[in-house]
Amino acid sequence: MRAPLSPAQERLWLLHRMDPDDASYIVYLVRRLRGPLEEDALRGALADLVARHESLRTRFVEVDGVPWAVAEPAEPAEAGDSPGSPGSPGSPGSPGSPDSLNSSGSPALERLAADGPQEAERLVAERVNAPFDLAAGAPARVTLIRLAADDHVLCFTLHHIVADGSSLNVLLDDLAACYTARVRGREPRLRPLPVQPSDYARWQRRRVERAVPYWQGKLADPPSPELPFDRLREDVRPGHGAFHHIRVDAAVTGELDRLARERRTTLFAVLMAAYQVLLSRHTGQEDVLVGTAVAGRDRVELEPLVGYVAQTVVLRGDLSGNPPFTELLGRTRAEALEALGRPGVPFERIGPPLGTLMPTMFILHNQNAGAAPAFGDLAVSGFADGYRQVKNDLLTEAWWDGDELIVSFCHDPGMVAPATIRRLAARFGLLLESIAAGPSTPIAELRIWTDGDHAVIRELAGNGTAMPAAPPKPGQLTEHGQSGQPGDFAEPGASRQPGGSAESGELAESDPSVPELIAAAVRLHPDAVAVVCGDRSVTYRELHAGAERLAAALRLRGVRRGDIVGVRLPRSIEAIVSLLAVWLAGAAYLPLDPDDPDERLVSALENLARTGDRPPYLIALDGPESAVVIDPAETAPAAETPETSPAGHATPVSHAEAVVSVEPHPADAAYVISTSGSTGLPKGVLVEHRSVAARVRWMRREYGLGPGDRVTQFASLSFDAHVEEVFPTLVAGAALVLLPDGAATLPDLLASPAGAGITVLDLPTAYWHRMVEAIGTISWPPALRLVILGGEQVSSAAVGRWRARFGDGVRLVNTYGPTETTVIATTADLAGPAKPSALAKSGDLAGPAESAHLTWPAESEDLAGSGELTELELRELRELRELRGSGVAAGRVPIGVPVGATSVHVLDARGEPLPPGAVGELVVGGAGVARGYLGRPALTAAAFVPDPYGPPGARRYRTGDRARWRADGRLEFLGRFDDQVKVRGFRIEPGEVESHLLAHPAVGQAHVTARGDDLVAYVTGTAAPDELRAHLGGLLPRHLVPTLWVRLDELPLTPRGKIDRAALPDPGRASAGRAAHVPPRTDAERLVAGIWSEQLGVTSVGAFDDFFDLGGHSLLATRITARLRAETGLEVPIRTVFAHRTVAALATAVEDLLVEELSALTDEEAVALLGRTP
Amino acid sequence: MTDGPMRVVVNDEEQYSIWWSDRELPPGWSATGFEGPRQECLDHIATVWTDLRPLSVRNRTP
Repeated sequence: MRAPLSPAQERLWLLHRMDPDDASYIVYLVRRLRGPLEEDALRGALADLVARHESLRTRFVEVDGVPWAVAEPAEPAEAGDSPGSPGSPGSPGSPGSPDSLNSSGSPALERLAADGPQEAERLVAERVNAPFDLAAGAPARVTLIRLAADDHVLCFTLHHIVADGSSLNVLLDDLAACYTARVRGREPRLRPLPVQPSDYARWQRRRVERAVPYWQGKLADPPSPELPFDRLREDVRPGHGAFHHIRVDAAVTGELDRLARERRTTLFAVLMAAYQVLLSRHTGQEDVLVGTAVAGRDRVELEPLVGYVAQTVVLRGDLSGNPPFTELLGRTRAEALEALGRPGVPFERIGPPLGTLMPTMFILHNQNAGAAPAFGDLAVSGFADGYRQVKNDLLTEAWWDGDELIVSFCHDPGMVAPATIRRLAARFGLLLESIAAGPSTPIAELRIWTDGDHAVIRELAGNGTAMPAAPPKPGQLTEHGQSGQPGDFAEPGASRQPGGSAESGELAESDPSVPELIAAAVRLHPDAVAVVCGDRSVTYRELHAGAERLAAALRLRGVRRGDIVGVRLPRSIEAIVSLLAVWLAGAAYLPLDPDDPDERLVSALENLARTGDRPPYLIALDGPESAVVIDPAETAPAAETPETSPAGHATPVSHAEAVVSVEPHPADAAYVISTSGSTGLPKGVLVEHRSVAARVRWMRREYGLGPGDRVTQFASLSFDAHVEEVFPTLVAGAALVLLPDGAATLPDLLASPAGAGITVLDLPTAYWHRMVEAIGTISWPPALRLVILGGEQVSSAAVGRWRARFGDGVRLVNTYGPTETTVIATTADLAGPAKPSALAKSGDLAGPAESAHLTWPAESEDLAGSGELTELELRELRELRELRGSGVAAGRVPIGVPVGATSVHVLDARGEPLPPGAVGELVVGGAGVARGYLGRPALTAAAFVPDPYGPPGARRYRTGDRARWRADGRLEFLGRFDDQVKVRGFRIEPGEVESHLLAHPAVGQAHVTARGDDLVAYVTGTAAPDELRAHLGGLLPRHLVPTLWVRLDELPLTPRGKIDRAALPDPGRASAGRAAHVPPRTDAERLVAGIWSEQLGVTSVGAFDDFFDLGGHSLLATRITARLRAETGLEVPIRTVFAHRTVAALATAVEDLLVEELSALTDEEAVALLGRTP
Repeated sequence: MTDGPMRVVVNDEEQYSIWWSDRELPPGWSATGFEGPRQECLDHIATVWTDLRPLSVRNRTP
């Protein structure tokens, strides 16, 4: 008898077909039977079951790509017969039977003996985790494990395709009834069984067909799938699972149950709504999809059936508007009533991939409350099942235990840190308590973060007030200077206090400015080389003298404290001198790129450098007439020269006044960086001296800069990365090496004798990516010890390649920070020698506890408020510290932890700080917070907001960047809030797509953008677009998978090292992405196109048409492979159809398979085979 | 920072910003009295905050 499958069965069959070794779709029943077991009666009862339930006699065969259920006829069992015993006659024509199956394809009784419960557990676990062959026989195993004469374990294992959770109850009840009847010598009395699985499958096929439009509408435009945690890896599917349980006490459970009844709904709806809140509070999403399972046995005739009747359906929670929980519960109730009454539809029929529609599941098991039926004279109890398969990234189940609830979180510990799941579970517990305590609380205000979470938030936030946050131990001093001599510190403290340490603590009080720090370096190393530019170089003494001369000239020209002076010079020693000169004159510099067009220059000067009605100053070789242009070679005239004042200028200072350098006040402006604003007007970020000083001091220490270092100056001065290159170097007495012929000449410099001594490179990430792609052709300087990256998301593949080349020999640091927080705000070490002080860089970690009693640094206690930490908090912090030491996992590259004098919080939409796992906006406080946007009060007030965690009156900067603390205490960057593009009506974050691409091992660089109706991906590396499409297809909704792909050798970069969007090639011409209709060109393409046309019902299929775009889905893919097999004799894996989505690609894959097969054949066989191909 | 009415706040350096109306002010900030939707608050700030230099800087450099 051959019958069609139900749609849900078809789906499982397909999953099995694609991955026959996957054992995750297994259901099982494990019971311990104590007492005198009558084995013959058990065999007989089993035979009764097989005769009664068609599912236990059904195997699944494939005919032309279509699965069919084939049930062997029932053989009525006779009392005392033992149909399962070896040697019993089988039906003719049945397939060879593996162990534990008899020849009629129905389960036999496997008998084993175990020495003790442990061995029995192992035997059970083996069986529960072993896959089935669906075609070979009924996918069921029954094992009886003898522990003692009166102590057995019965293990019943079935593939989900023939049984669901309710079926197990039916099986146990029927088995118990049959066994008891046989023991007692009477006929079993079983309920009538009017419907068999094949009847159900036919009925269900019709119902599902009608439900497809409902689900397609319901689940259209799904949000991008987000989980409430960071993954340790991105490139693996869930494997073996682990479970974490929490117990919800009777009082809370009772309250929740009462709430359900009061609102005329079920505990399931309450828990589902709470679970959606849990997810939403972590992801920030208000549109939440959660899968669940329903028994589907709402008709009485289905109750006694063994079969796959349960449905998986997706509930879509609308959490918008921060409703009271009770209101959300009302929405969930309505949603559940509507959705749960409909048959589930195989996800393939809905469209978006499963991971998108159902990133996680929540199930409430309603245990059979009725008394267990008699099982002869045996006492029946549970027994460990050892099941460890994961179907989902996160499967949460709840069940009653007395008047309490147990909630279990099933996850893959290889993908999620166990601490992460433990925290998530604790948060769910707390959330349920808060709901029980105040069900009408708005959902965003329900308590969810535990005391441990709050302790971790404080620990991670960093300290925005102190600098350095904690005085390092004297023993760490040698790490900072190359030569390790305390005298190398060019801090004023060191020079004023011979023999005293710069780290003595005076630093935090005195806050010397960068010009003062450089002046100190000049005193310490007057004859050391300060700046190298091609063949020229200047010593520290010469540099400073030049800056003082120009400063005097500036003062004589009328430049005053508080003025803003444009600097527009090519890469040259004069440019560096000019920056210092502006500071010595008491002003702030506005660096402008000489390569920018004149209009931009004039606009920047007029908008950002003009003070009142005085014309703006500009240090340049030439410049617009509207500005006062000062040549960098200009020096103050001799004292007796009469001073002339340009018209409109304030009275210049006297010569004597002019030559005295101005000591900047910490709150004075240091520089203004012009960024492009959305209005077209330049937006000037004004940074104060105290911010620059805090950053420069931290960088000099953290990067360990000393007089032996040679640091390249790569960044354009108009970009604030120059601050990180120029000033820490000059403060340290090191040499700054310029690139006079442009940043692009860096490889030439490195290859030259002058380049061999380079010790530090500070590079835009995109440029470094490009260098790493050519890692073998670059002359990496032998002295290189540190590479600093910043500006874009780092590719994990590039880090891997870097480590393969350099191991931990060269330190690699990723940095993150907007201009508004002074160059950088966070850093992450990606490679390099183990650095004990790296953990302590934010100043709040003392490293691993040295004594049994954990002692905390002073400010940790301060931050904790009372200074007392609870056990829970201590445990959380301890665990965090342990994880912090762990290396970079595969997947997203982190941006790290706050730098010194900086606090970082990830905030939810209400401005509340979030713990690890939750996504929010990155907000930065501390010494680096800029003054604001020049002349833009509203913009400044919106972005620079009160900082409740800083000193009184402090402000912090809202970055607009999405981020999350990872379990290891480092931040990951998740794109921008306002970076969305719209493609065909879908809101898309290109950064999200890019980050998934960059996590792929064969991608070097990636850039995603919208062009018209297409989402375009530009990638470098070896991965084929088809492969990447399949990679993304498994992770993201269809609308987030780029439709056009352009593979480039390298991405074009701007002179600043950012991706040059304007220079990206037009995808239409550059790629074979989506071409116009091209008729199939080869025999193989014609073959594939013909099969598609026939299976998809499409008349004209072109060589570049996409299987899924033509309406294909995974169930159809099996038919494609079956047709290909029929036409060519080739076994084409279904995965091949998914991975090669165009006719051309699939045809090539088929040809490759053919070549492979031919090479394994004799000539005669090959000729015969070729004769069959068209 | 999107929902609900906001108020215009100012610190001792006469730097302006916005804060939720229904939440306690962080230390060192006081309310100016202006309250309304976020954009109205920002528009108001654009009219009253004419010199973005902190008060201490203004006092030293007239």
